[in-house]
Amino acid sequence: MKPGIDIFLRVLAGFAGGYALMVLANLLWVTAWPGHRADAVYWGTFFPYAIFVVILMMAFAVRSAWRAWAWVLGLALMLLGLLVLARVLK
Amino acid sequence: MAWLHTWLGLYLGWLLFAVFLTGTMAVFEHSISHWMQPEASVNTASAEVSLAQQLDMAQAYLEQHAKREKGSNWMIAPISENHATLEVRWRDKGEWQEVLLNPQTGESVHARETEGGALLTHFHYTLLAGLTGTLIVGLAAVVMLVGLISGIVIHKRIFKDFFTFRRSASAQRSWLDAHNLAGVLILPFLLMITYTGLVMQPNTFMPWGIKAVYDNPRDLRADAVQSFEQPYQDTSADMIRVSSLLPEAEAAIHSIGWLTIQNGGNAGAVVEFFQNLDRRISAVADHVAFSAVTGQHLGTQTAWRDSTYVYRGFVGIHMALFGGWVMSWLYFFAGLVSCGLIATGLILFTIKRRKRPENEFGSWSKPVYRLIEALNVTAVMGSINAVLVYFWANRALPVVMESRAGWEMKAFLFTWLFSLLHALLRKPMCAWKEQLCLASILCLVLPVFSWARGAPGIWNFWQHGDGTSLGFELCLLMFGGLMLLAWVKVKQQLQKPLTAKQTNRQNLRQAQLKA
Repeated sequence: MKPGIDIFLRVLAGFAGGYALMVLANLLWVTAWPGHRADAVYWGTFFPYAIFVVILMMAFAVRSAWRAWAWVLGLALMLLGLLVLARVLK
Repeated sequence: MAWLHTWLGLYLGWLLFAVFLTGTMAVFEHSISHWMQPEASVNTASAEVSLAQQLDMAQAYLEQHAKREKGSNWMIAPISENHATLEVRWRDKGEWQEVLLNPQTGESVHARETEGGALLTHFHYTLLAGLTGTLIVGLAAVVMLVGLISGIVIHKRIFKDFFTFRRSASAQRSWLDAHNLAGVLILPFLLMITYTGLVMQPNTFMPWGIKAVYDNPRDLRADAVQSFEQPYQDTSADMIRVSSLLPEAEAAIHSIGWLTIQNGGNAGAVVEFFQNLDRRISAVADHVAFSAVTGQHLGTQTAWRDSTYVYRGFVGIHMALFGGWVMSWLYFFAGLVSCGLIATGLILFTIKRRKRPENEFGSWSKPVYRLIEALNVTAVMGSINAVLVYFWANRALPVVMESRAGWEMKAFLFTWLFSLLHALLRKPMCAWKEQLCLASILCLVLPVFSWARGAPGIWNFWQHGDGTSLGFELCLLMFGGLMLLAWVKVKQQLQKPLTAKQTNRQNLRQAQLKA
């Protein structure tokens, strides 16, 4: 793969993937929270930023752009699955 | 990690410098606004008017001028440590009307129209581009966190960095040491300020989480802050003097920061007293509400949800509303060191490549390096000069003028454009030198220029005991002096012939390249 395409795919995985995973994690937290909905929203916004940061770094640390995308898609599927589960259980 | 640190740092560093610089100024937002409206300060400097008297005057003014309608919200902000004027506000057709009052006479003060320090605060988190700007700044903040963490990873010698500054070594070494020293010294501050800056805006960055559980996102606020509103009624009514409720309000919440009157002049009018935000780290204001017609106590909120308290705690430690002047100055200096960290990082990128080009852009490397040099100058000196030109515009423009605040803002924004043009036309080191020279002149001459344009001089501030404006102008002189020093250094560097050691090293490198 050309280095330019490799970098582009990593940037996309890091920024778009990182943001999407952050939003998914936030949604999952808010949905699954057992207590009051205001607490769910506030507590749920403190931690997902860490996911964005970690994914962004991961995208450039792994050996190839494909691996970065595999991580992003795998985690996204996992979070989506948990989200559906949380909705069903509620 | 080094690659990530270098490139994300370069591309977002340009933006981050402007964000950190304006954020540093935002610590003293009210002080800057105070200096930018000298008409309001001269009259009030020696005034010692009690809170009750201020409230009476403000209420009288509002009852005469403010709009009476369903859902109206009037606000009174009395004089406090970081708010040097008595101010009243109300909403008219969705727009906030703000009036400064002379606390001795109760009449409105005709101060020059300006956004004051608030413009810098707005730029800090919106780039003056609304929601899009906030999203861009948020992205830059995430990248800042990545830069901090990847920076820690690539150095691995945090403790040693703390004591390393090889000033007389090669230029690249010194800049690197300065960059590391700044980064290590205030790493906790940087992590804190960047993270809290992100957490402050959940509605903007993660709106779907709120929408998942709230049909109307405004209800989130209602769950956090108790409302003691009364229904709007068909009859109007005379309001009591709200100052007569002061003893009861002070007993309930201890200190009064500001108050609001909802549905003013209506039979359902409510007056609400809010606690000063500087009393604790978390930026929550205990509040107590009364009927503004009968004076009947409607409710008090002094307890907060844990989650809300922690959230507002992040807001509090980002904005440094607590801890008084000492804390403000600490934040200010930490902010300046952060700016230094970003600036040295940007400079390091080009210093490295001036000596040994890495040709990352293939055959385009030379012009791209040239562009990066110019953008570095624009990001650092352009931002500094933009703020200074904004202050100059405040004094240079006529006091009364159509859309005056807009022109001030234009002067602020166009400085960047001129800075970029200049940096593209001149050799990099000359551009640095000349823009440094401009900045130091702007700093050093502004107090005199301001006085010549009819604003009080530095000695008047001293006489009137206006410590805020005095401090502002002394800071200008100090920064002017520092930039003068930097200018002299750059000038010496440009004139100095290479030392024997440097010539040796250059010859050696050329020999290596040939071999």
